[in-house]
Amino acid sequence: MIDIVNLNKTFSNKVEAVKDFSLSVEKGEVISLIGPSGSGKSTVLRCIAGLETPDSGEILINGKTIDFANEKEAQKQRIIMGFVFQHFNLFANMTVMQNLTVAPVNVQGKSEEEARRLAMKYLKRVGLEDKADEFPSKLSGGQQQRVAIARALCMNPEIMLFDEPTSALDPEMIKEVLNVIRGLVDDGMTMIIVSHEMNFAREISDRIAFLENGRIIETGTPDYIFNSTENRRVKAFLDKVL
Amino acid sequence: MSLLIAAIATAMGLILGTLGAAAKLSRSKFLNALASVYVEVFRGTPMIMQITFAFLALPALVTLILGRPIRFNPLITGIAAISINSGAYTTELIRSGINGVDKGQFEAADTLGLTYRQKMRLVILPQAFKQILPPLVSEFITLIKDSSLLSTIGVVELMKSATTVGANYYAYLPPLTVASGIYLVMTLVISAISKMIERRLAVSD
Repeated sequence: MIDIVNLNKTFSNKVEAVKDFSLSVEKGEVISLIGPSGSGKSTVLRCIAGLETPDSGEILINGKTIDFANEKEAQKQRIIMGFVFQHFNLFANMTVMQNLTVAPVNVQGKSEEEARRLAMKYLKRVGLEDKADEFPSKLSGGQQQRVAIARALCMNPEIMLFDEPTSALDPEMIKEVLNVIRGLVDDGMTMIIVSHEMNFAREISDRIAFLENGRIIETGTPDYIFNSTENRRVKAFLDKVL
Repeated sequence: MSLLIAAIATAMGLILGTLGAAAKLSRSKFLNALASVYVEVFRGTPMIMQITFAFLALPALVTLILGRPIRFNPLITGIAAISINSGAYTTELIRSGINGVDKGQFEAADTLGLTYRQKMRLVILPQAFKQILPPLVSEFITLIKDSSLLSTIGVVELMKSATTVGANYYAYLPPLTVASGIYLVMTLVISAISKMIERRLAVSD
């Protein structure tokens, strides 16, 4: 579904964030990117979503290369992606309901009524149907992140990208967000997740890629990564965080 | 009349300021430079000079170009001059307001597929507007007071009326006191209204 070929990204401060990164994601697959801070996990995800422009390399969606120079066309191709941020980024000037309907109405041309129906469906799904008319600032971090997931789902994405979805949350709120993501996995949603929740990654992933200094240095099933890899860096990292 | 002048100038200034801010934030180097020159020139020269220039010097220039004498209407010229001046200040206000909106709001709009215009109109500008409302109101209040400068080119507004009445009756104390009081009432009412709007906008905080 998504093929990433030899992606490179160097920031203006000469930091090489991503080096020759390649990855293929099949439909229905759940892939976790793990690794130390600054290893380029988030940058890869942001390149896929169009929030960063890679210096070289290709990203193909369903076999079609994204033309980075043509921003409008690239944005259209990326419409099949839902993105969930570490800091939620709900629109502060809109109620929860408006957050959920703004894109379906303005981008997909859905009627206000249809968009609201869809929004209620996904709000129920994340357990927040009673918060439809609240402003984001009135919600807890965990609730905001669940709304952010619902907002992405309202665009009916084929793949969901999660950029450290629980890293900004208080410990007691992490579970409610992970449960929502788990529900999506059960539905067969394709996903790429950047996460520091190792046990969660192990539980839900079909494949885990371990990144260091912008490269994938090890990849495999959760069982392989957590139990039988011989890679010292991976072992050392997992020993530290588990 | 003073209120009308200030209201029109603020509205025009808001439009010019939005355009100016868009130019300043655009990727075109030419538009950046154009907007910077605009802001610097009109912030860097006295408003009374701009008004006088527009009324007395500009007609001479237009006469040269058209080849026949022309006289500007003082009221329209004055409002235009104040509007353009206000636009320069508002450009900076709006630019700083937009820059003050969290980067994540832009990114979220991008990932949802909103176009640049939709992103600005639906997400960014409403939040920027909320932040710049207080300085925008003080700009409006400044303009109410600065509208008195138009008396120098013969526009009959509050200041001019007061001095005319004073000259007629050889007594300046009562008309100037009354006129000052009216300025004060206008600005106090505007302040109160803006506080009300701020409170209403605070629901999303």
